[in-house]
Amino acid sequence: MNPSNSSGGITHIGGHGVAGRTPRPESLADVLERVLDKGVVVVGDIGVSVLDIELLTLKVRLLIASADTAREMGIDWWTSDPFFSSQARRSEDRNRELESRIAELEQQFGVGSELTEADAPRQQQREDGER
Amino acid sequence: MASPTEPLDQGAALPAECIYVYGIVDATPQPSPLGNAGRGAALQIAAVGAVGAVYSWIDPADLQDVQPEISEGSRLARLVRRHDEVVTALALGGAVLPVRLGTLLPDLPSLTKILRDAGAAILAALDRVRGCAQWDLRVVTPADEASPLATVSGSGEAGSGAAYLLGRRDARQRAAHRRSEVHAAVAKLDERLAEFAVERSSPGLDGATTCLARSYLVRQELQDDFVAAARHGVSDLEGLGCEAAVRGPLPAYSFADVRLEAYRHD
Repeated sequence: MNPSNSSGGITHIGGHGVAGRTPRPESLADVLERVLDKGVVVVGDIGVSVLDIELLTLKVRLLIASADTAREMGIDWWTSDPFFSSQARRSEDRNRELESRIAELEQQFGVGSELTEADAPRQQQREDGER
Repeated sequence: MASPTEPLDQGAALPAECIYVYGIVDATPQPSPLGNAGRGAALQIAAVGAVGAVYSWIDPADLQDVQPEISEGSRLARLVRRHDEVVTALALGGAVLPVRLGTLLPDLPSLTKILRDAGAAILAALDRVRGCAQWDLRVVTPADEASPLATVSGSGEAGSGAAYLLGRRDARQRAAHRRSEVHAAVAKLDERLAEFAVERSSPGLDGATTCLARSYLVRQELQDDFVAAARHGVSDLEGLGCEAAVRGPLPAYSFADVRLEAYRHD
């Protein structure tokens, strides 16, 4: 595998209609889908078999299919749970980033966090008057 | 036909340590440094002739009773992530044949015996993926056409049976039309991507709403063209309400379908 750029990252096209490098790890479902039940198989009596990979793969696929069915029925709480969903994690990261930017801006303009929506016009008038 | 590795007798004691095999590589040049890919496991290479296998010693009890838990932090997640990280790190250094998750051998002579006996087949398999990477396409159809539970958005009012049935018929016709549009767009993208690929895997269906899950083996020099075609096709599918994603470059998991036979007394 020789990635087409030097970062060695994975290119992910789709999801939000854009293509880009994804520095964050892939979701577990993506990795399971790619890894389970694939690759070189050693057959014969030389191996030590403690993991029934065929059965495990079947169970994982049944779970994923059940999750798809549940989503169709409107049961999708895990999609917004950062523990289970990389997309939810991304949203959470984005929220944190936005909150920190807002805090920076508030600090920059000397606006306290107690400023409410109702205060905004008064604040604007004050700033206009100062000008 | 050979059967997969025989399960141990329930009463049989497991060895204290076994060899966990991640992938098979060219023995020369030596694989690039793997960094922390093994998550603490000391990675080693066993080389026989032109081929080598990357492995680490593990306690086989670590693999016993692994449950199908699809959540980060589960034993399955840790096992799969570690396996994939090692294989991916190996793939960055050259051709690699990922070995199936959970492959354990009792000792080093067993591993070298496999490499020695199947050296020619392994080299041929390495040649197949050399200079290439796997790219995965996954298309999920819009829920309204895939679900048998889809609601009918007809114009019928409550109590009007005929209007309900007409609405239901219209909804079914719309869904059928949409389905045929989606399938045509998926087939078009699949064919377009195949033009840039050396091989493509059999289509896989791994979920209730998955329309297509396919892997492509793409030569390095064609990857930019492949990506451009994928970007275009994915955009078309998203316009039709599908979730479509193409991901790569990845180790060639789907193109390492080699069976190595190994018996203690042969």
